[in-house]
Amino acid sequence: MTMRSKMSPKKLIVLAIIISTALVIHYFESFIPVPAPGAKLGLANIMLLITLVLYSPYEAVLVLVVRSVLGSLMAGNPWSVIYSLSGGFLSLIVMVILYYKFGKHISLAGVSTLGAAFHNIGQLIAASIVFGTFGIFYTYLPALMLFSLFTGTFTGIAAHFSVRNLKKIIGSL
Amino acid sequence: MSFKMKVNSVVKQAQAIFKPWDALVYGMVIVIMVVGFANVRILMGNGRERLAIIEMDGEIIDTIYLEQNKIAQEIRIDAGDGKYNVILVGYDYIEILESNCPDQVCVGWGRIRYTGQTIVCLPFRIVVRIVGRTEQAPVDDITW
Repeated sequence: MTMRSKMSPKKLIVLAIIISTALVIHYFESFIPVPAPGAKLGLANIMLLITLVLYSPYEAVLVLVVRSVLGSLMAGNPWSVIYSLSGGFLSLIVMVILYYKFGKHISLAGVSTLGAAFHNIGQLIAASIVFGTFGIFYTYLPALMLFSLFTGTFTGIAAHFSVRNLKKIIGSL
Repeated sequence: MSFKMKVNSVVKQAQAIFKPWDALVYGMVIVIMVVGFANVRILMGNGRERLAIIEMDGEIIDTIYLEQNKIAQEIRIDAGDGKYNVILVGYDYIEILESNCPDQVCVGWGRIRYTGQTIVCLPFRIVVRIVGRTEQAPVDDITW
């Protein structure tokens, strides 16, 4: 990997902190009850958004993969990595396009909301393939869209304020 | 701080966070949601719970609630004299997988999932149909 050789110690440390924070959020999030099974608050997405703003899509992919794999292992269900990654990659692709192409017009809250929506779409596609039926897709999609409107906005606003302060802190390191 | 000033400060903060094209994003998600909800109502028999009813010789021998089992299950029905049907109940569909009836029409029928659909195995006089919970619920009052 060429990326690793280029990575400065400072960046390595910041990324390590971001990933471990995301993992902790990912873990504790599973204790928060949600109205619909399979829905998640997606708070760990805050860390992904922060990575996108501070660094580039490559680092975001790194954070996403490490967080999904380790998070699934921690949750005790290695198979959930399929859902986690399929949703995560679709969401990341959408967020990268929105943030880098339309970042001037769309806020982090907007980026995060569409990211959350596509995270759910990706997970439902994976679930439909695993269960062999698209019935889950039709019945679940609308409810998850409604849910992601709120979680996505909240995540985006949280990232908005975190980034502002983190930029100062990281710049002063 | 007066109420108006409070509202003003909230609006200012929101203006600092949100940007104009966000409306497009929210519009998109809401459109997907509304279309999805409309779709579900049409496709799924107006949101009713659906039951699959298996009948033999006009008598109900099994009822299964769809969308309650996560794992597909197979039900074997013996029609006597070595005649049998194997019925597969998936998450939201039901189909006849295997049968030793002469014409095999029921096996080629495929999956049914919406209210009103039926599979008929004429030689063994087996009928599988899907009904909504409110219409002719085949279960007695005690079960409800």
